[in-house]
Amino acid sequence: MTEALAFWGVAIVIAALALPLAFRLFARYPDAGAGLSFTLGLTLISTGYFLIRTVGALPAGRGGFILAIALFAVAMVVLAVRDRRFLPTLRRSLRGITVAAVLFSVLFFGYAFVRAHSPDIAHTEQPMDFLYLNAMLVSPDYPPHDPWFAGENASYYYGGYLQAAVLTGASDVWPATGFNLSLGAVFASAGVAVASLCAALARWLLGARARRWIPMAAAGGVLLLLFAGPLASIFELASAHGVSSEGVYTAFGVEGLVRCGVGAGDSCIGQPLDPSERWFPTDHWAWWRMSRMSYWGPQPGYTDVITEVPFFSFLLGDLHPHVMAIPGIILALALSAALWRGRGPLSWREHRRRPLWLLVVTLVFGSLAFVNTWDVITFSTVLFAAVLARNLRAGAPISAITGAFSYLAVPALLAVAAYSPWIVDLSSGSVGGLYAYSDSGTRIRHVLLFWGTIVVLSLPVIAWALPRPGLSIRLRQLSMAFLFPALPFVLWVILAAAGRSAGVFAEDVGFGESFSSRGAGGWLTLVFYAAVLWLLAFATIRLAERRHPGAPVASLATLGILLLYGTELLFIRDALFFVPRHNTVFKLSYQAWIILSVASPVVFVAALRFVAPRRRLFLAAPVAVLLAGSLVFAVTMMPNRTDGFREAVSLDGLHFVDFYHPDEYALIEWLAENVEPDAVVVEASGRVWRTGDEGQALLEDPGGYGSFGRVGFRTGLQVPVGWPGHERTWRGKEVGPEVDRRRDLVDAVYTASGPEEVVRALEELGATYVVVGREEQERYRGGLIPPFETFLDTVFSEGEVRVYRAPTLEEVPTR
Amino acid sequence: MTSPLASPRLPTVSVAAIAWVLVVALFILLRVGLVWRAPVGGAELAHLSGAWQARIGVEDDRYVPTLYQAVTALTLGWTESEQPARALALAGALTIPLALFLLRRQLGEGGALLALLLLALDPAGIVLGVTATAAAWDAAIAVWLVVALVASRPPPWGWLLIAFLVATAGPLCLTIVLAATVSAALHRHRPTREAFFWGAAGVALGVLLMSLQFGVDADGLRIAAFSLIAAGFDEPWSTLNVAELAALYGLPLLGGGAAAVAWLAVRLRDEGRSPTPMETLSLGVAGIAMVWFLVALPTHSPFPLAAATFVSCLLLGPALARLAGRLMALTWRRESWLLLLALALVAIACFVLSDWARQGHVGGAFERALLVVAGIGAVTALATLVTYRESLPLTLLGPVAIGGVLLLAGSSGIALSAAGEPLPEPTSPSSARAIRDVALSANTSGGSIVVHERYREALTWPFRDSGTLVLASKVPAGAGVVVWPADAPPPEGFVALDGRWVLQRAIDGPGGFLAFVHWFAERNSLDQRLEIVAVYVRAP
Repeated sequence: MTEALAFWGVAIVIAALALPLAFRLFARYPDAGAGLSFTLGLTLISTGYFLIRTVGALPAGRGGFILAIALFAVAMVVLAVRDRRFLPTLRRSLRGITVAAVLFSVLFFGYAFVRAHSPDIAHTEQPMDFLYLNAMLVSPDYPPHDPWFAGENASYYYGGYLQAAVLTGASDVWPATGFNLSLGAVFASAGVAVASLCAALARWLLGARARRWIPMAAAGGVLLLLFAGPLASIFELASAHGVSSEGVYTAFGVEGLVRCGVGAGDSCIGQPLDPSERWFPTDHWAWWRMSRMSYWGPQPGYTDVITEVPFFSFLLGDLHPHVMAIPGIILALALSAALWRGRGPLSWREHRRRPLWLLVVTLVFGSLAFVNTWDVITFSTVLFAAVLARNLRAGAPISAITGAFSYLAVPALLAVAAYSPWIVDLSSGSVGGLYAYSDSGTRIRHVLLFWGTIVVLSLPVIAWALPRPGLSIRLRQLSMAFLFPALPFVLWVILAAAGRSAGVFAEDVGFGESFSSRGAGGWLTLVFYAAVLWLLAFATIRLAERRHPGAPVASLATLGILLLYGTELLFIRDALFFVPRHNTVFKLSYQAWIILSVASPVVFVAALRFVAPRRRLFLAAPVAVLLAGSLVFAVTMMPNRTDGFREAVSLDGLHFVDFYHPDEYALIEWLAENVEPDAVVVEASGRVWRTGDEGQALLEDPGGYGSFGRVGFRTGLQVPVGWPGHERTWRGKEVGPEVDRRRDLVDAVYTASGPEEVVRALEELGATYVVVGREEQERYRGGLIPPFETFLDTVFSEGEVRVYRAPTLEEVPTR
Repeated sequence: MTSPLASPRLPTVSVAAIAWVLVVALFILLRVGLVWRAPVGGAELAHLSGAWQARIGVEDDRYVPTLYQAVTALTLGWTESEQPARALALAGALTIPLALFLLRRQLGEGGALLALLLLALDPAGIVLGVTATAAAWDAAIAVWLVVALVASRPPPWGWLLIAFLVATAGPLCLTIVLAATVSAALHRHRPTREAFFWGAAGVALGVLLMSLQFGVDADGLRIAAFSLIAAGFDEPWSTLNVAELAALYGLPLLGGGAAAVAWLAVRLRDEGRSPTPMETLSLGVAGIAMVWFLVALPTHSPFPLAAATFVSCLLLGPALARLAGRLMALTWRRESWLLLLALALVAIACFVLSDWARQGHVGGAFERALLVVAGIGAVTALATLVTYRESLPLTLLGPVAIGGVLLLAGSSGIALSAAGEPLPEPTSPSSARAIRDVALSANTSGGSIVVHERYREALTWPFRDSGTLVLASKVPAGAGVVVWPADAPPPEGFVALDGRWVLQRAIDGPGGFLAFVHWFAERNSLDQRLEIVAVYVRAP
């Protein structure tokens, strides 16, 4: 609890410190940007820390984090005392600030409470996430090292981990606890940020007289972004209670969720599970099925695409870039909205008048790439659109376009310069180019069951653009809007014709096959998306031309649908080419959910406001049903994940290690406390070896995922090699031979026949320490492990775990 | 008509002048002896080790490139003694009275004098002002920076020197710079273009030299103040943590400083005026130093405490002067006996407490009752005083008196018997150097002197200028003399030299309130932890 309070305290201090800047940027927001101030402050502090560390002016450790916050604090105080409007704004927005602080605290501690019932850092890619958090905390130099590839800098978008490290380091929290509390901070900051943005958009749209509607829009944003989930959860819940008609389930495309009972044979179309004995589904990881549509259909277990919602990520405890990016995305949207709302054309000259805006735009949008590179393209486009729309209000199209380009060119160049220490280390891996997706696509029923609520809520915006007296539809607007669905499709056709197309396990799909492989269901989905997109784009153009305050909301809804539509047609090639659009759908549909979570509640609340009072019930009732359906996922899966909140455990993500293997936990504590941050520690390579008939070491299993690499990810200390597959993904296939060489050397240490061989391998690896724990004993079986204690120094011993160090023998001059 | 034979008028000396002379004398007296007597310990041990490594060209994180560290490394080139470096630190500290003298207009005559008195008595300030830590010149540079900012108008080129000194100083100066930035923004004060240019040039020069580590090495951009603050969160520069150090040495000043800030805030409100630049600067520094102090409470660095007490002195001096003025204005009729009664009751309570502390346990029912009665009586007497509105300042005399006694005990302890105080700790005792002398003289076999790798950092200072040593975790073949942990098995083929070889010593703080009172009454009552080593020579 003390650690949670310290962590929360640091977060609140950062939010408070950033208020003077938030007031400047978001003066037109109802809360003057109080809900965005935490994200704003953390973004600037972590970037400042990164830059100062990189030039070497800040040493590693807690003091560096605190200094970065202190320097930011002084800058903010100076900003506050120089700003004559600061105190009036503070007084005016006191209520907004209080609401933001309370909402942040409730969400933070609420999440911490839930997470304390399932705190483990043990599965999926959590070890990798923990690795980067630890790397940010302990790396002796910056840019930070890659603990799983000793001697090399991290080659990944690690900005989010740096933000988590700022909070963890400054509050002096045990990193495994900081991991879980960072999730809480992301959850809470996303909540207050979306509330702030939705409130502003609603305020602009509804006007000052409709103030009482604004909280509803803000609350809707929080609900949709953080708590809503797929409607398919209703079927999951029903089947958990034994209500699962095969016919109905098949009609909705969720036959995979039918529970046939344990021991059901091949005739089972769904899961071999019994109905739940409690009010929520109790089978292991039932919540996981909502993120993999492949579980819903007739072929359970085959994963084509990942479609997650934020609540799923938080339930999983996924401190991954796409999750940590949520608050930053909303901040970027809020900045774009604030720029759109401002007056006067923008061009590069504006930066001379408002250097503060230049700095913030540079760092916030640069940080988008730093945290989750996938986001920078999408949301820079939003920024460009916002600036362009503002310029179009003030001048001719040509000057508007050139002004927008010149305005954004400066921060773009500065961002590249500011983040260049990270960029130069970033390997593209095997990412390469845009491809046409040529496979069956998403079934329309799944589309509706997943995105139904959030899409439907955004549709009323179309009504504002419909013809009415004095306002007729223009063919030009319809034609322009038609380009939105048409252009991606044309691009798809061109790519398919050029042979740049792929389906699941099928590369270079032929042109004709690209059309036929999609099937009727896939085409129906495309037509649905295209139609919605066309209408939304039309509404956006209409509203923008009328300078209607609903234009930004309409454009966000359009962008959300465009992303979903785009993932049905195109994908970006990456390391997972055999399941071609895996990452593209995962990343872009996540963005779409965030964007629609902002747009939909504002649109719906406005619709509710504009409709005649006696008809409101007809609009509100079905939407309430839809919303309730969307919340089934959160309500039923939270107890599933936490085992019904039976026992509060801890916020320590390594609690399970302490519980099951206290000696391994003591190892982590000892390493963190005693080993120099630049030392290289040898631990199991991941391969499994056994003794052959003649005593020689025989490779039994080349290894895959697992808890090997645990010294690296649990301490941030460098090991020669961690998860090989991930290193290849991050650094490209070219790194393969080096990965194999390192694994061979590590195996040589543990299977050596004599001390000389061990010492030689250690020297080649540049390693000083050798760990022998459970992992090593399980992976080097049958007495393969040499008697290290006879020729190395035993520096740690607890239970079955030992740490050995190469003997020290060095001459020390004293004069 | 005056007589031509009348004796000439004697030159008059004001009371203030006498007071200044006395306080300055006290300031000097409490420091001079420490140049020779203070044990090398705590941050000084680390930084002297770093400076030595820099002097022999070995890269070492303990070398923090402040200007003073560079000068220390230079002095170690002439002599292996720490005393010249300490003398230079003292020389810097001795400029503080002059700076305070120049601040009379801003602090008031009495305020400046009392601030100097408090600075003279500040235990943390005494230790860090005289010992050779990297931040030894911090207080002096900081107070001169305050003079330059609020009390004088240096010529524009003067900012070259000021900025250079500040840039190459430690964390205390950084707090002043940050507060000055805020103060300048608040008062809409902008430096002249020339002054800005010279200042920027001074900072650039300082940063350049720090990045080159004053010629030792170049490894990226270095800012010594950042390094010292950041390292303070991880390095064991004191056996006791900041909270414990503050409880032993800082409470009177920190409490008084906090009260002074509160009083200043109330006065500003009541008088409906804006703070003066000096007040803004002091409040700014106090805010920054207090945040640093609070955040660093669990760490083992004396610097946050020194920064907090330094600014407390600057705030408390004028507040005490104002309080003295109020007290002078009282009629002292009914107040005097009530105050005397309260002080007498407090004294009784103190006697009872000190007796318990000496015995190590709480006394019997009668003593407890006596303590309660004395306590209630003292509070009642003070409360009665409070009912007379004009006597309100008198109630502060109690805390002032208690604080003064605590402060005097701390500063006299540090100044007169530094070797027995928990600040600075851990220390490298003279026996550590004796181990080195014995090792050198006993190494008749011509082999190498081998020291266990556990003592990597502890050996730098006591083993300075000892040729080339071997640091090892196992005794190598060519060893002639071995310095090994006393609890490790003796190496084969070696015989131990008789003696109690203490390489390092640490004094623990008093555990609990009674132990604190006991320590207050009897300074040498604290437990010591000794790092005892064994010295082996090759058997003949």
